[in-house]
Amino acid sequence: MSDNTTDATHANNAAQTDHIVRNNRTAYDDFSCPHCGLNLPGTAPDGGGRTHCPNCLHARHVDAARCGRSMTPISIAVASGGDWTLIHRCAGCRELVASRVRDDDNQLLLMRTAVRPLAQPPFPLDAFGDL
Amino acid sequence: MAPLTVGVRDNGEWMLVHQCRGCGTLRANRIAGDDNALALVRLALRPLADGRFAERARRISEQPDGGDR
Repeated sequence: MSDNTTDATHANNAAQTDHIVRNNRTAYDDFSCPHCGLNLPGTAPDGGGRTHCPNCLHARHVDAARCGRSMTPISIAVASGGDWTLIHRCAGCRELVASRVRDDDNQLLLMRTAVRPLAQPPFPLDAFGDL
Repeated sequence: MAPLTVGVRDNGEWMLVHQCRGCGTLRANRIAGDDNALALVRLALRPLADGRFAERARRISEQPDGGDR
């Protein structure tokens, strides 16, 4: 599905910033969110590039000339520094992308995404309460 | 590839997100019936173990819309 050469390119760029984040766009254009339609500047208030919509947390698959489809937030990961990282899955090519959470992101949606696995466990969690 | 986090699939099943230690590639797979349940729960709890979790909850309680917008 995704070729190895582009993954190697991603690795070089990722190593420069954060190992977990593979979004290797060098220029962040202003974009409109493909999910909620919000118009967003390419630069976040803290100076970094904006990779996902702070309102609905969706993104567009545009790094390294990808398919351009909407990306859905599926999970919250924790980076080495303890910062939250949003994992997106592209609706078109099914590829996974990680991007760091910003301070102005919708905190309620972030919390919902973070606790979702515990709200829908595949096995009863009662036993863990006795540990 | 190292386990990074857990997510929930559309059918309600947990999925494990792995990241390659070398190139950073992300992959998602279903969990198996014989996977270590404690290890899975520990992974699912990692975002909640972050000290800033309480800060996020406080911000939500102060702004019911969940953000600055």
